[in-house]
Amino acid sequence: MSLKYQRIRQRDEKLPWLLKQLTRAFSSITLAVILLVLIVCYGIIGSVPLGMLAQTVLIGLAIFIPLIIACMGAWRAGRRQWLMGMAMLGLGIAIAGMGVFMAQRLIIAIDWFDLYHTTVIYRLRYFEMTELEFFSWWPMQLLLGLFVLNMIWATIRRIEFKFVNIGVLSVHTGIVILAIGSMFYGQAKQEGDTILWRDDQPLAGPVSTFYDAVTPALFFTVGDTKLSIPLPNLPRYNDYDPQTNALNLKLHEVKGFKERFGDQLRVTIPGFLAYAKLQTAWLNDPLTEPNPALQVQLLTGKDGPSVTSKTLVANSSMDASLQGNNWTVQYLLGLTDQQIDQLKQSASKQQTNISRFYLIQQNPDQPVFVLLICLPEREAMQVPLTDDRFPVATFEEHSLWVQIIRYLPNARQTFIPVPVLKSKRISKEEGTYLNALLPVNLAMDLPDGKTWERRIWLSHMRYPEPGIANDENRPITVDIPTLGKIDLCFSRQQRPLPFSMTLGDFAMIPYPGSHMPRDFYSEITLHYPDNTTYTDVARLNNPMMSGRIKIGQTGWDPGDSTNPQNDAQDQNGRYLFQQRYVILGIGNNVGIHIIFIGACLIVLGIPWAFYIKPALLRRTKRKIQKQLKDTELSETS
Amino acid sequence: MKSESSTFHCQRVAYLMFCVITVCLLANTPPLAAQVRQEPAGNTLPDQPALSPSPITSQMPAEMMSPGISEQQHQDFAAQLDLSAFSQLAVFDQGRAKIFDTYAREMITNVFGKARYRDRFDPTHYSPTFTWLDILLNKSWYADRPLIYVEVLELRRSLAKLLPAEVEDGFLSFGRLPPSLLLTEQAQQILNGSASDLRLLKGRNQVLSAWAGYQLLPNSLLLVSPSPTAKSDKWQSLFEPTQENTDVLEARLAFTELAKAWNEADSKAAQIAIDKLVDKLPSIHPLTYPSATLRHAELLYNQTHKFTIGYLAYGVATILLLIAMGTQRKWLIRSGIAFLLIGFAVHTAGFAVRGIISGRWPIHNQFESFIALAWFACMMGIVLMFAKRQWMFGAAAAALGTTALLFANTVAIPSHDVAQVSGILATSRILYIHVNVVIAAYALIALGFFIALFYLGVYYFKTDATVRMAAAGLGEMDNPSGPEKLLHDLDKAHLVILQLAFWLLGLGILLGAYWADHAWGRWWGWDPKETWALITWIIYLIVIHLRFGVRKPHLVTAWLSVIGFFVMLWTHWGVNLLLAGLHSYA
Repeated sequence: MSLKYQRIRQRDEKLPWLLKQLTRAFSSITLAVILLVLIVCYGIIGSVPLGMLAQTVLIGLAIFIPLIIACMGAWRAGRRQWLMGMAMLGLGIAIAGMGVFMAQRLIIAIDWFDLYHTTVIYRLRYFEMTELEFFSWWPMQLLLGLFVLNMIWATIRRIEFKFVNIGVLSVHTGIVILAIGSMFYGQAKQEGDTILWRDDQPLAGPVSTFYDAVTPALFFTVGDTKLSIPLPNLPRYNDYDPQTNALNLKLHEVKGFKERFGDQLRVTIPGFLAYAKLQTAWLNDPLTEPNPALQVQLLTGKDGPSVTSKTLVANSSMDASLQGNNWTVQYLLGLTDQQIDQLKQSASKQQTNISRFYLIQQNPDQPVFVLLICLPEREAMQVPLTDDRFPVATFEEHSLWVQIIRYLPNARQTFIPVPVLKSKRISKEEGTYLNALLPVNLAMDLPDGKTWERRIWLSHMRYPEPGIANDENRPITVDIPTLGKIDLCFSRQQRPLPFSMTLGDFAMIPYPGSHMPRDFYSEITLHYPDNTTYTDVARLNNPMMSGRIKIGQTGWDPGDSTNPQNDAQDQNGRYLFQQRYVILGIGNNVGIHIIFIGACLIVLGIPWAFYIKPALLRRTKRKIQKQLKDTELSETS
Repeated sequence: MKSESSTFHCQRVAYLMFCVITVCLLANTPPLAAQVRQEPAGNTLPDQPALSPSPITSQMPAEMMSPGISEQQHQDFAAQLDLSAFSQLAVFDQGRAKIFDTYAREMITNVFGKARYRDRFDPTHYSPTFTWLDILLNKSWYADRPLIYVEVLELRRSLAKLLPAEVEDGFLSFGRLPPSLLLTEQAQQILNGSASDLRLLKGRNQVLSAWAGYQLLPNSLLLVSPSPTAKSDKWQSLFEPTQENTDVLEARLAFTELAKAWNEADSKAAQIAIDKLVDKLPSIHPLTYPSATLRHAELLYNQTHKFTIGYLAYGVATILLLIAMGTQRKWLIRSGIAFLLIGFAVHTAGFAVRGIISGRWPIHNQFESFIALAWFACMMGIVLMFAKRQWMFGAAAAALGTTALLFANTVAIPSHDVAQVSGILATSRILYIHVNVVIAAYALIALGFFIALFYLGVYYFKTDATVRMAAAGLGEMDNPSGPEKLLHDLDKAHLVILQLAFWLLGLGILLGAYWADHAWGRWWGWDPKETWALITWIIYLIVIHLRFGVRKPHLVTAWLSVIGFFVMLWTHWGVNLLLAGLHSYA
């Protein structure tokens, strides 16, 4: 305890009890240590998945509890009889081993551990935050705030404001400045990215906005006008059933919507699927025209497990057959006996080594099938299909079988959202919306008093731009009665820039002799509202700056490596099918200089406190000792 | 006398246990299943045609088909060939020019799961260069042998079920399946059908990658370095039509002769072709061809297990220094230091050669940072040992070096092969400094851990022997102090390391934040690696502050140093391997 703190504590005695306790608590190192431990705990639960954490704790307890008890016992017993001590230690290790075994069995037996193996706390339904949001949440802010308060108060009351203490004072000041700078930075920070097309590309043009890194948005495009509605409350990690209207986000109540689309259109988001795919499926719909289909699956062995399944639709050229390497199964409908004979004759003339199996339903109204087997270099055989399965290929003692599961007389193709199994999800893509499906309910009150309703499923488009769209990720056009066609697109919030940007040249610089990127070259021109321009090059680790806005390399267009033309270049050496655009990361950096000053104070203060201060104190001590010696000498003389 | 006899007894027990374990391991080796090479049993359905001939062999050029040689002929052929010069020829693969030995090791690891092929029927250990040339030029030899590594057990089981029942278990336990099996439709269905989870999907990709490696043809080898005058800097195959140089034509002819001789197991003709290739290939474009010194250094790097054999010298140094401190013999100290310096020299050579081969300061991935961390720790231990004349630092450095290099020698640490790094890691100087400073801090934490163990040992076992040992470790062999003074000195030595670690870690984290602001546009993102680096730093912040307010600050420091070490290990390894984040490539 420093002399300064001893003096202050004496003065504290005069304070009212509560104030005295408070001021002492905030001056104490114990509180600082407790707060630091709590910050560590917060960091642990914010970074380690719950299942993994629980497993570690369980196994840790199973190991350490018996070991600590055994060590204490062995320590006591070992003083008298070392053999007994060793035996106790051995027993402890054995019990710990058994404990680990039991804990592992428990972990396997309880599904919770597996279910939450990759789930960090902020992904739970109650939280639904990003990593950054979780660490900026009020409990962390409170802990950091209390720690800063504790540090300021303890510094003022405990540390003498002397030159020799400049190290510790600068470290503490640095931490406070860094914390204040971070708060300022966190409040004002904006970051995202945008796409810039190379100037020779048809989609090239000035870009004056970027897409936010975090906030999703729904875009409505009518003609040339675009309305974007940010969806800050949209979940990220969990599914919300649209059938029960679990979310019920009413977009038509958002400011600006009614002015653009009127009172009659209502748009709601009833639910959300965090990780799902839209799949084509054939359903049996008695209300539609007859369209026979067979749901079949491929088995490895007569009673073996299924490896794949498919719906064979006789009237669909795309879905009429199931194929293997050297076999094919085709579903044919309404063939006459004569046509079957012709098929037999043509099959026996074929020179290929492919085995063909024809499932023939002669009468479209009756699910009665014959199987025509056409094997290479053999006569075709026609057999009635009595069993629900038949072999299609064999190798040694094993075979592949096709099994008919279901007959659908009125098959209708539809798209259904299918959540991807947790075990099949790519962990780093969870929470990014890249695989999310957004149901949007549209309802329009018609002049005749009826209501037009429609639900559409939107997959996420990282950039709601035409050049990036593909079959799965594209805007969906809806024709709304009395309103016309509207394009809907699920993407990210668009933010304005104080300038517009164009891309002159762009190149990926590979490692010598390879296609692996080593660096990138983006020649960017900024066009300011006062008609001035500024051109610079952004490279990896070398962003371009405009005021507080930083523009850096984030992504690029690798083209399609399966395309044989991927490496084709024009007469100027520019790639035609790759490197056509660049993705630039954009962010502001408000308050970074404050943070930098804080960091410098910390970095410089620590060596002063550890190395310079002791050296100064040693010098002072030597001086005093010398003075004392001189005084003693002068007194004795 | 009693303690001597008990030590002897312990040694005997340990020796007996070692023998028992060895015998058990040998006994557990699965029996050789020669039946595997039996002819297929044939079709069970008489109406179905058999799947033959094998698409692999049917696709191969006729001159590359093996006429069928015996095991003995194959062994003799391998023994008669001298491939030492050929293994130093350069080949371009995965973005860099490497020697054939490295290429062969990497390809065999991809296909077989280990750098050295071991045939279950043939105990001969072939060199990686021979095995890979054999796979390239004599594929049919391996068609029915257990070659393709299947990592995921579930997948291995389902594929092995397609084998005859009598050999299924043998293949299953060996973990490798014959390429001919993967050609069957059922195997293809299993490999290309729908996967129930990502692990299985990953397993399939691994098998397909191994399968693709096996299917590589010799004309895919990029053996010709780029012409210094040409526009393109790409390496080329000997068989590319654009090659018109007479040297290339001669080398092409030599390679064709090699393929022919290889298939006929004609070692003399093969050796002539190999010698011709060794002579011709470097001289086609000598200016762009890697130098002989560099290629030789790479071969040495491979043959010494990336110089991790330095653990032997470190291990001897650890034992000698501990015995020296226990027995107070100065000559043992000197011997221990000599071995420590030998170990450090080998360690340094490994680090330097890796740097030369990769053309960069090698700290960019798990393997490199692990080796660098141990190297920094050993260097600091040695410097502190000589500066303070305290042998304990040397013992700690030696123990750490032994553990680290032994681990690197026996465990396949991710990214142990030399490869190009992601562009973002290769284009920033500040990143180099950040990584080096953090590695230095981690190295000090590791060194501090060993000193903390020393402290705890002395604290809890204050016997004459431990006190003498501590005194010797602190350089007070001739004039030992009392236990309290020794503990105080140990704590002081410990604190020197921890204070430096704390400062460097803080500096490293802030440098990383500076780089992240530059590269990612945000100085701090609470990425798991960042969070855990901060947690590690906070632990040492707690150490520094707790020393002011607890009754036994030295003991608390030692225990927190032990905890801090494990947290550092988690931050360095666990976070990269188990938690997804922006630092996954590091």
